[in-house]
This record gives sequence, structure tokens and C-alpha cells, in this order.
Amino acid sequence: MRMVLGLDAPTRGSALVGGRLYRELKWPLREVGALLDARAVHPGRTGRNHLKALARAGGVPAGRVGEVLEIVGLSKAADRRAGTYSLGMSQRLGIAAALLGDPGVLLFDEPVNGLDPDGVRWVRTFLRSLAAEGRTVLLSSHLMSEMQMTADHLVVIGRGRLLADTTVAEFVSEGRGVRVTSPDAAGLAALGERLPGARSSAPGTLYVAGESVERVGDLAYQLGVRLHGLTVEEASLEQKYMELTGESVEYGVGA
Amino acid sequence: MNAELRAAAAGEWTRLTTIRSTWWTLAGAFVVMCLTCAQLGLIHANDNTDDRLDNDSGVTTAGAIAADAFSMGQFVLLALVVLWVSAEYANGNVRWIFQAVPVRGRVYLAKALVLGPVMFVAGALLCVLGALATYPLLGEWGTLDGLVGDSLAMGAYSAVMGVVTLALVYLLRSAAGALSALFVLLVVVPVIAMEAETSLANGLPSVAGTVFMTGVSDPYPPAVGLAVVVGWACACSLGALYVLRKRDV
Repeated sequence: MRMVLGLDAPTRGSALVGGRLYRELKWPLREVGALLDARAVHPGRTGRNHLKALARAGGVPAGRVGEVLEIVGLSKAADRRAGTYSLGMSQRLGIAAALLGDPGVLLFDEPVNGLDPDGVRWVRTFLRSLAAEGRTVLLSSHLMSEMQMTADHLVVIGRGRLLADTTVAEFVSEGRGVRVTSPDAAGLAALGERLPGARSSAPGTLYVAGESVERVGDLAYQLGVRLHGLTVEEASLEQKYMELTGESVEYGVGA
Repeated sequence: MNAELRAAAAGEWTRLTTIRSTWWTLAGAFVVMCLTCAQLGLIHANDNTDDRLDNDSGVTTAGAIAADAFSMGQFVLLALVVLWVSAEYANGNVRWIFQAVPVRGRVYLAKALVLGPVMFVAGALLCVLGALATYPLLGEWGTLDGLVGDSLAMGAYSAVMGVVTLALVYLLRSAAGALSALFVLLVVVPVIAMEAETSLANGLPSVAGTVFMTGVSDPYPPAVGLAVVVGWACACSLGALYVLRKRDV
């Protein structure tokens, strides 16, 4: 993200925004809004003045400052010095700054880190609403459960290499299967023989990968197997992520 | 000035005026200037009236006393620049600035455009107030002759030194580093060079600035003194622009 914004120079290649280098954009705040570090403000300056300076430098009308403060719900605290803000308030100020130029592309680096549950929820729904307005929202996070709830499209990068580039639904569904539990061991074995993706994970349970719950249920009915449980299992994003990045972790702990 | 540069300068003006360190250092500079001028005025009057004859220097101008006092007062004034820019590196606000204005040279130029006039006015005012503080204490040994010219000169020197300081902060990116460098450049090196009796001292910004502000024509005319300081500002700025482009933020 820092390379996209021209803050760090890439060792090789280039990062473009809409086909151009960031520093070639005439009024970059109007095209790309980015929040890298919510705490990166002068603690002695008020939130409003922080935004005012950015707006003036970025060619954004001054009236926009009040608007974005309203959008993120920070109007009341806007005239307090930024050093007195809680992390959640700093995050809101950062998001307000990213929205200043009403840009079509938004970048957020770990936007929910360190926030309380209310804050996490607010950021999640707010980012979804920004995407719903037709903006492109790029989010980086190490919180997999959070990404599963927030993101549509997923890019996994490990050690600088692209490991996956797909939708969240697809990424997770690759690990989908059906878990069958039954007191009837013989029946369960018979069921297992008819399903290629089946393996017995524990006594009385069968895990069938890559099958729909309807087909497994129907087959059990045909064979007359008594069932106690029939559930769809989806691998969590975190599980999939660990599988995928298992070999490309830079500072892994040896098991 | 194109629209982007004008916008960048407007943003920098807002940044400079919305932090308290700016106002505190300005207030501090006025206090230091007035006190130093008062002290130097008393000493001057005393030297002329005591029993010793070898330290008598006769009538002086209040502006000359102010120029003398400014060798101290300038540090407080220049601290304004140091605190302004080094804080942006310390708290990371610099990344927001480069997000809004990605061309590094434009940010530098915008800051210099804001600093120049601010430092000019501040320097000129310091000269006038310092002179007014020392004038009553000089009594018959002081005049206000040439005060307008003296204050304009101090303003000009302050503006150019403001840019030198700006460059030093961008080169060193820390308040302690920049202030130390400033002290070494303006005080330590000139003293060493004068001890060594080399003419090297004449090329240093504080020495050249003194020649310019006091209007003595030794070792070169005042205008050359100003030119030397401007030369330092240009050289330091080139260095700062180079590292600004090269370094990651």
C-alpha cells in the first residue's frame, strides 16, 4: 500500500493507480483515499484543523471537512486536540481524511486493529457501505474472521508472492464438505463406500468432501442408514489461509 | 505559482499556524531578544561610564545592539522551523502530507514559501522590539538611527536562515539533530575558524549574516554577506530535495 501511495520505492516494478503513478495524479486525494496509520497526526492539532490542512493542500473545498466529520460521527470532538482522541476516534478521523476528496478508490491498512467490538462493527459496516456506493475498497488485514465477514474478493500475499486471487466465497468453498454422524457403524461404512470423497474422521462420524448435503442425505435414506447428524462444514478463511501460507511463512515457529 | 503549489502552500500555512509550538517559539524569541538587548544595552552604557577608558566604544545604535543580541535570539526563532517539521516526522503526519501532495519538491517549496514571509516579519519585529528594549537603557550612548534598515536586514537574514533550517530538518529528520547541527554551524565552527585565524569563517552563514546585518564592510560588503547566506540556503535546499526524493517515508 505504501508503494501504491509512493511512500516507499519498490525494489522492482511499479505500482500504478488507474494506470498512473501516484505522484503523477494532479489532485491525488480526489482519486485515492488511504488510511495507513490512524495515529499519524500531530497530537497538538485539532481534528478539524488536521482535515482543513489536508483539504487545502489537496484541492478539496473547505466545506467538505464538516461533511466528512459528520459522516464518521466525529463532529462533536472535532475541535479537541487529536492527542486526546481514543484509538477509535483516531480511526474515525483517519477514515474522514481518506474520504475528504470523495475518491473512488479507498485503501485501508488494518483498519480494525486494536478497536473495541463496537468500533470493529462500525468500521465493518461503514466499509461495506462505501463499497455499496460503488467505490473500490482495498483492505489489508491479518484478522481472517474479520475479512470473511467484510470482503468480497480476496488476495493472499505471502513473502511478496501472490498466493491466491479469488472471491472469498470460492476460496472458502473449496474446503466445503458434509459431516455425517450415525450410531450405525456398518451403515456408515456402506455410505462411505458409495461416496468417493468420504473419510472416517472419528468413530461414528464420516466426513465427505466436495459433496452436497442433499446428495448425502438422499443416499443415506436409500441405504436405510439411521442418522443423528448431517451438517454442512465450511472451512473458515483462517483455516484455508493457514493451509495456503503454510510453506511461505517468513518467521514460522517450528512445530 | 500554479494551482497545486498555491494549494500546497495554503495547507502548510494552516499546518504552521495550528500548532502551539509555533506561537510558543515566537513568544520565546521575543522574550529572549528583549532580555538580551536590555542586558547588552546596560553593559554598553556601563562600559562608557566606568573608570576604565579602554572599553569605551562611544555612541552606538539600538539596531546594532539588536543585531548583536540576535546571535542568541535566532536559535529560538529557528527552533520554530525545527519543531514544526521534525514533529511531522516524529508523529508520522508527513505521510498524510505526501498523500495530499505527492511531489516532494512541491511540499518543500510550499513550506519555504510560507516560512519566508513569516520569518521575515518575525525577524524584523524582533529587531524593532529588541531595539526599543535597549534604547532607554543606552541613554545618551544610543540612538535609533537606521532602525528601519536594520530591521529589514534582520528580517531578510531570518527568512533565508529559515530556509537553511528547513533544509537541515529534512536532511536530519529529528529535532535534536537539526538543533545541534544549527548550533555547530552557527556558533561552534565560526569560533573554531576564528581561533585558527583562517578566512574560512567568512564563508559561514552566521558570520556573513552579521556582516550583512551590521553593515560593516569588512571583510566584504553587506550585500555579499547576504549572498553568502543565500548560497547556503540554496546548497542546503538542493541536498534536502535530493534526500526527499531518494528516501522512503
